[in-house]
Amino acid sequence: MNVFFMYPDADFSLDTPLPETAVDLIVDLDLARIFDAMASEDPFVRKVVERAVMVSLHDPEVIQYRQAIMQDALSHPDAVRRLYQLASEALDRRKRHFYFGVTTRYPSSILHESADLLTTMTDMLRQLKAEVGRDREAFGSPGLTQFAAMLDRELSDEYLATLAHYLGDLKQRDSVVLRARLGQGLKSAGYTLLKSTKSGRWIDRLLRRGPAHYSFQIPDRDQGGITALSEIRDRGINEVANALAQSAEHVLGFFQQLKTELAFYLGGIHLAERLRERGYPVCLPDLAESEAWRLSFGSLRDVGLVLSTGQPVVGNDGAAQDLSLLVITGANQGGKSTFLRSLGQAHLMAQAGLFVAAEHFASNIMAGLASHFAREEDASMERGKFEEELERMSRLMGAMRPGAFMLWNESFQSTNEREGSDVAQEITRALVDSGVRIAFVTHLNAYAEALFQEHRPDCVFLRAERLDNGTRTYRIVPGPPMETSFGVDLYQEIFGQQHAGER
Amino acid sequence: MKCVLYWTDPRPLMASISEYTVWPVHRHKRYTESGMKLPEMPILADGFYKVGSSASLSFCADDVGGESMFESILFASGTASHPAPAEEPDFFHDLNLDQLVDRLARDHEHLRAIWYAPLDSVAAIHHRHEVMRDLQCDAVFHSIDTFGRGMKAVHASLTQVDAMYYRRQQQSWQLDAVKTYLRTVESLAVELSQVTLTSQGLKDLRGYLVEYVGSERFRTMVAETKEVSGLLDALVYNVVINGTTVVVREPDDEVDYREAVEGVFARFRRRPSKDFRVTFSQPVAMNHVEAQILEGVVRLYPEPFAALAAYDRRYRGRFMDEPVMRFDREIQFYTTYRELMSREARLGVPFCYPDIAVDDKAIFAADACDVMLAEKLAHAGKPPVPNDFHLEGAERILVVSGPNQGGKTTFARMVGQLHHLARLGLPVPARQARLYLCDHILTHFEREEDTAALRGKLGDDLERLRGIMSRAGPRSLVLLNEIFASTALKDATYLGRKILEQIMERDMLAVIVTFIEEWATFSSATVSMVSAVDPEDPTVRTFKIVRRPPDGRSYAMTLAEKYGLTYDLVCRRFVP
Repeated sequence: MNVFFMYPDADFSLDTPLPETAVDLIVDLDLARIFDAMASEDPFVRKVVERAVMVSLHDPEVIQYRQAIMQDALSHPDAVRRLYQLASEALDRRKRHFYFGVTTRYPSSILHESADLLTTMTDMLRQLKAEVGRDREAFGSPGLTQFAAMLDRELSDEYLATLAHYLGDLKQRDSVVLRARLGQGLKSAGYTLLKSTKSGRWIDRLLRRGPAHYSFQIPDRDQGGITALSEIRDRGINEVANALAQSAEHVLGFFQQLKTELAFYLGGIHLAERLRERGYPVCLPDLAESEAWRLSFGSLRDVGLVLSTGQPVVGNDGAAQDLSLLVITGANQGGKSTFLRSLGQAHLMAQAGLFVAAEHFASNIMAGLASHFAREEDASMERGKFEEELERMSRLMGAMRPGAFMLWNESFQSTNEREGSDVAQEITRALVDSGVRIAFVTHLNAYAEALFQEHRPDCVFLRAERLDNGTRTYRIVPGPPMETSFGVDLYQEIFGQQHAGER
Repeated sequence: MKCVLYWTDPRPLMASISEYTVWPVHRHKRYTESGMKLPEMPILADGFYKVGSSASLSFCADDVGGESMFESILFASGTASHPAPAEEPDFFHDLNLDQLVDRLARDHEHLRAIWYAPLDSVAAIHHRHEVMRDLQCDAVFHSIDTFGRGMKAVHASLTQVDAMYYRRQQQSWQLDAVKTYLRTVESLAVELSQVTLTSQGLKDLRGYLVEYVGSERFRTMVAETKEVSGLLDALVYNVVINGTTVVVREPDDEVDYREAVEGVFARFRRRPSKDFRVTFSQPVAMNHVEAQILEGVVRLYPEPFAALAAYDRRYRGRFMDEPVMRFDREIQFYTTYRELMSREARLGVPFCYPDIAVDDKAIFAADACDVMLAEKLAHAGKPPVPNDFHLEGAERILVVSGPNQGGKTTFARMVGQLHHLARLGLPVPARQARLYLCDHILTHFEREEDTAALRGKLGDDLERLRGIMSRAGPRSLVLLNEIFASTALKDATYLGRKILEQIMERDMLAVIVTFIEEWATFSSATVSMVSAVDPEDPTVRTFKIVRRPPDGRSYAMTLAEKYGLTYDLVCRRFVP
């Protein structure tokens, strides 16, 4: 029995390793804030969404498969909540069976605990089947429809009755029939618990069989003999107890998988609600598989920023065809980093099968995603910083493939502009020629200027918008690189006109 | 009826085989698959074919058959075994050979005496070289190793026979012992018949084994063992437990409950699950409940147990062959050392069969190592630093000087080890070597515990040296490590000169480790060797001992410079 909400034909695993680029991406794109919002204080949901978002999908069919379920989830959030609740409850029940899974020396107690637990689980399965049956008409996604059909098929009333019969039989064993053969030193070995295929009490059958048996009785006062006998019994039960305990684990595993895969959609519901509360649109993105990158978006927002501030957050619009390189220049504090983050978040969320915080969003499925952001502490021109940047960049290269997408934020500014520009030029050229896409926020004017002069069709220049009166709109608009940065503005703003004048 | 089998080696030689012979099925298959014609043969047991009654089998081996003389794998046939000293020789501790033997003879105490007893002829040494060469063939070693394991299992079973309380359990363990013994001996005979051997020792063994395995007594034992085991193995029965009542009865139509449970829950099966099985202790001996259950089985099926009892009366305590037993004990001398060799070879330590010098004292070794140091370093995965030495013409004495901790003691120890290993007939850890067959190895190594009691120490030293010199003769090897180290230089120089004179007078071979460099240039019999340092950084020890004149004080001066302690540097410190 499979859940298959995350992939059409495979389980989602929390053990899938994160790509090496994940650590940087989480910090650079402010993803922790997004995961927290998706979790809505459920740590398990947080664990699932982090893994699901960071392990990107590359198969358009799988992305569509998840998008369809996400659509159902957003339309019927209460149904998802109820199922998640039910799966959680089933797993909680396991905790009441305190002794289950506790290492014990007695297979008979393992057998008993397992049978008890399985009886509870049988009841939970019955409830699950009823719950899903109630909502099935509302679901349109193949994932949820198939799940409902699977429950009907696998958990027929007849099957549930068989389960109950077996569990009852195993719980009420007063005598055991074991098969054995002679082992080393003629000790009986390979004790195996048998299930009779005939009806009637064993003792009656035994007596009918006549002389082909030999029996003896352990005297009540022979404590050693009684212990020895119960060990033989336990040896015989051992395999069945194991099979039953494993079955209990498997049923629990089913509920665990159900809870895990629902957690992702529940996270989506939580995040969508937060964005809609603020009046910001979400949409299911349109992802192409083609070689040429086409990018188009409307009202794209930085989700991290939305979640962290009560202030209105500006959305950006844009469109470009046959794109390789986006160069974003302009004033400090003008919304460049925010834009870069929103672009990275949108691609990660889209390739997880989530919605995107935009009115519309279309892009390509990227073969990989990596971020190279100048960190606060990196900004000085201290010796070694530049080397660290190069080292980090070289490490990221290892994870890149053609069709991958890199987000650079003020990279290579820890050396002088000339050197930084040269390096940036060398690297971007090599990457673009290798089919890697880059969005680069930079103050390396020499670099941006030289590139602009080439008039490459696959290179688009964007700028932090600045109105004629000098105010910043925080919008990113098409525009050539500017010779000067707007640090002066910022300085004026903070220190006032007087001090700036001394510059 | 005659049946001749050939394989790759076209030199068939007849081996007389009595009623049955052994022929491994896998080999048969390999040859028939390759298109070779082989006669139809019934399968005898456990992967062996029976080749008809009174058949003759042609082995590829060059010398199966004939008179089967086999006494000892350690000594050439016909020669009496050497009287071995019971006590560990004095030099063992100084050369760390005690550690080596502790390691190699840990589970083979009977081998200690062999380690103590040097061979006294080149022929005896070559006998062992040949055996060891054969064992270096993987196929041969594998056969012998398997045999050794099998015999160990036989002895383990016999230990259980003595330990058991219930008679039937004793009988069963006895049966196991015989079963293992027969299989082990038979496999060895078969496998040795399929390889090319060069050593007389193993060829003799093979001849003996083929005859023994074909003997009527052996074949009868095989047949009876198989029969009794088969009867017991076939028994299947039910044990019904109801409260304190136990019933043993014949099986009925029942199914394995585990399979039933697994079938019912199969649809939930996911990734491999935890193992909930309880591990029960597995005491070898029965308790009284198990014994009663066994009695129940005996009542249901008396015949197999009667057969077992009869079998036991026949073979208890008399199924093993003395020469085979002795081989099992003695071959371990080679196999344990071979294991050491392959262990150290993995590190990159080369082993070679040394040439043995008897009439002259021109000795040498190339890339030689301390065998015990290599053992210790094996854990760290790095080989010891190899060293060379040679003596030619009138040269007899290696005088080793140079900085401490540079491998001088290891070097002296190594020369001693090489010579003892050589006279045991073993390969030595060197790429190439020629070593002198010495009668005595005499050592005087400075011992740490000695240095505390300086007073009277010189007297002790001299006393010990006198003891050594009284036993040393022209065929002896003397190893002196840091003698007179705590004596005044003037005394030490004088005493050293006296000892050297004695050594030269008797034309002995010697290695002398000392800080007194004058000894190195004492005469044409002395050769100077120096522990070398890295010319780039004098604090780095290379553990190389090279043949060259003493370094004088240059090394000490370089070190002093590095630490700012030369005259100039020290003066400068006092300049403001």
